[in-house]
Amino acid sequence: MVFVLIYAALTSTRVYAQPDETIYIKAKKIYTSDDGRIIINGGILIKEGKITKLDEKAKPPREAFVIDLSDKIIIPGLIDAFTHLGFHQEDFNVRTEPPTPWRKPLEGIYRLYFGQRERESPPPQIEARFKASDAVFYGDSWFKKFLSQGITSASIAIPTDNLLGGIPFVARLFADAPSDFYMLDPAGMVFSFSGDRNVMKRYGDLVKVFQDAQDYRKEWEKYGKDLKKFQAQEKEGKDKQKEKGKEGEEAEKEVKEPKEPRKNENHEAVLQVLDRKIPALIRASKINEIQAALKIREDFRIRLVLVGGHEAHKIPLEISSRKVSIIAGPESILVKKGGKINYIQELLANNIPVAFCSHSSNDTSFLLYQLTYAVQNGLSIGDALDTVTAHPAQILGIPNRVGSIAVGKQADFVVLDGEPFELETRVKEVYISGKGVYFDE
Amino acid sequence: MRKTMVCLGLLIFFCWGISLSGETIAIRGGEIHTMNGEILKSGIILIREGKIVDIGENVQIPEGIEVIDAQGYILYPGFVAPSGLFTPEGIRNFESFSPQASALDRFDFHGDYIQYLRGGITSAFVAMPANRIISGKGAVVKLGGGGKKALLLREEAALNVNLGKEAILPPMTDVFPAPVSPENPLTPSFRQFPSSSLGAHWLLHELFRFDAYSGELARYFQSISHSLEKAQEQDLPLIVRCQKASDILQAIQFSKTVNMPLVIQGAAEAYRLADILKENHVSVIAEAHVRPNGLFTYQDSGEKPAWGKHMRSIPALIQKGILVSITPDDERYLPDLFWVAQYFQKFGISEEKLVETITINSAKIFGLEGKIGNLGKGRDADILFFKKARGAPLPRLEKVMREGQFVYEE
Repeated sequence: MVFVLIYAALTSTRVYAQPDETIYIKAKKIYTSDDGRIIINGGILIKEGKITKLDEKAKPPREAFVIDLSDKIIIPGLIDAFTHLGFHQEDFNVRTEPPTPWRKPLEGIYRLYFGQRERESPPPQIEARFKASDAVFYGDSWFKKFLSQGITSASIAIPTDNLLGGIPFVARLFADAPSDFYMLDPAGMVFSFSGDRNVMKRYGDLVKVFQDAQDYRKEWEKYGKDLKKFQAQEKEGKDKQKEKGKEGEEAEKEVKEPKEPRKNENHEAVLQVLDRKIPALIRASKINEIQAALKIREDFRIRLVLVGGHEAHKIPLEISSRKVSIIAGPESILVKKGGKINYIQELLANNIPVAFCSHSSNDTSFLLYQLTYAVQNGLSIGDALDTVTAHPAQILGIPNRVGSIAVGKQADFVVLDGEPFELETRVKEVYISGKGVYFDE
Repeated sequence: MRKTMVCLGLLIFFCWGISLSGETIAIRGGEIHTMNGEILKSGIILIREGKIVDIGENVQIPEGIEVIDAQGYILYPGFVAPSGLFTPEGIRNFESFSPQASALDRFDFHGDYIQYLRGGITSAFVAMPANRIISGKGAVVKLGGGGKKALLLREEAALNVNLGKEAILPPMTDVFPAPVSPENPLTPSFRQFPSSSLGAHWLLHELFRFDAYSGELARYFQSISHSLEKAQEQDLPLIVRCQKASDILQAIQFSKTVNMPLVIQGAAEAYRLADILKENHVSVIAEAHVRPNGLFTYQDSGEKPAWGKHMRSIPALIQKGILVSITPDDERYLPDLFWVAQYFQKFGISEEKLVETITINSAKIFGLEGKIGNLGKGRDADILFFKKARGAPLPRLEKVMREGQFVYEE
């Protein structure tokens, strides 16, 4: 009896629903981020972690577990489109090429006072095949902090300014098992045009990387052809040998057995970009960097996404006509000599899909706050919300799983205690796949 | 005939005279926040020669004057920035103590300050750069063109003193202790004193003991001691820039001995000493680490306290009833003063209270509440026209009036 009472008390205080249960959520206002649709006093029906119904008026079915949030406001789970979450300070800039400037003088000092003892081996270069998913632990304790800031999914890249930045992946920030954690891997390939003053050098290097990959493929294609020819000939030769005896031996000598080229994982990774299987995320903020990135796109017909794009509003037509999307950030407003430029607004006005990202490794709490500042300076609420929900889902290539509150999608959403772009609004609860993963206490 | 001519002449003269002296403007219909503790729902302001003549809900508007319709606007007094250098590139002062230096000497009265006017800042305290122990005297000015006569509000408004990290920054120059004379033979130059925190405190006390100097040294220190003595006579507020609780306590001790009013600038750890600050009537110019466009990355040095704690300091001081004025820690964000102050709505402080921190509170620190920072009879007509925008979290600034004239319109 006592146990039953205790069990009843425990279950009544904590209302965690089971993930495979049918859940019904009532809310004061739902920003669906699905073509700007807003539902007032409506409800969401969730079955097995997916949204199955959206009601204009709340009518919970009998079998459903009802969560009453009728004084709260719901927005879709936020997606941070470019981050280094899960990487810690010791990972930063370690493997960059050229080495960080302070390293050289320090080495000199060490050599003077301690001889060769403290000298490090030259830092290895990041290669195209490096995957961010190999380095990030799915159960990292920091992810809880990002959940409390309303982020449910994030694209995670290796923190580096190197030209080749490796392969990023899209993560779901709450996962019981590693298979849940990786939503999309690979999610693209990062190249960086910023970080070096000499843009043309980086452009030339990247062209060389692409051309090498193309040459590599040609080599393999040639090998394939030769091998076929050789095998065919060998077969023919054997048949002939049976028929004519000694004459066949001469024919065999005409084509030699081709030598197998060496496998190169880097070239194979780059070929995925050239085959348009994954997008190329090129970090370019200044106008010359952006133009170099557009040139690369013309030359190799890659799927281009610009990361940064601070000066992209100067050439909006060139970008919109080529259907290039932009992951903007980390500033929401540019301050130039006393004037403020709302570049996100200007890009969106030209029908360019823009995602807003934090570019951060340890703090995403300002994603909503920064957009609040952009809203104060003229960005509309719907547009601001789209830049962290619908647009990043589209750009990262997961639009039918996350990014909005719509039927058939994963039930990721954030519960706020006020309107989304107000200074005093706080994140109260976060749900991923219909499961409560964060509660503000 | 002659009489009628005279009469006519007089009449014309009078009419002309009336039209000249009566350059009165009325603002009607706005929600006026006077910052004296009252909000007029639909008030009327009468302005003549750049000053407010009358303000209230039942004010008679004289016939035939220009009336500005402010229906739907929220009117605030012009903001007063409590600290700023107002130079395009940062300047540094490498003298250990230069109380005779004045910020006015380098302030450009004909400069273009449109970015500050756009942010609603009509008056500001021009400070001396925070390097070494006594940086000099700052002045309160109005911003926007008009020349020195029109803009200067107070020539010597406060004395900038630094404690903590700034006071012991290594100076670039090595100086002689005094001019060479038989009493002071040529000796090797030494590094400017102080180089430690304790040395800074000792020097501050020593500099105010005017009778201690004698001989050649006295002549060398003449200008310094003269200006310090003058500052003490004028009862200038001491603006002491420090962050640590221990430095704040030392500053309070020092202000008691020299008998000058104290203002703490920076004050990251002031939340620990809220009671002591309240007891000693110390006001605070709080530096907020708010980055409006979201760049929060800064290198965490040992001197700087934890970011989260710092943010809690300002709301704690306001709730205690201490005179707090808010300024961004980086001058680049000064044009966004309204946003920086309103950020603290997150901690449950009301919008009205936060506007007070950047208007009347700043004016009170420099003793100018009779002129700027609030709307009342006899005050300057510096009025900001805010309008509530749909969807935006805060009202937007659309027009800025300085002394009865619009200096910025969106």
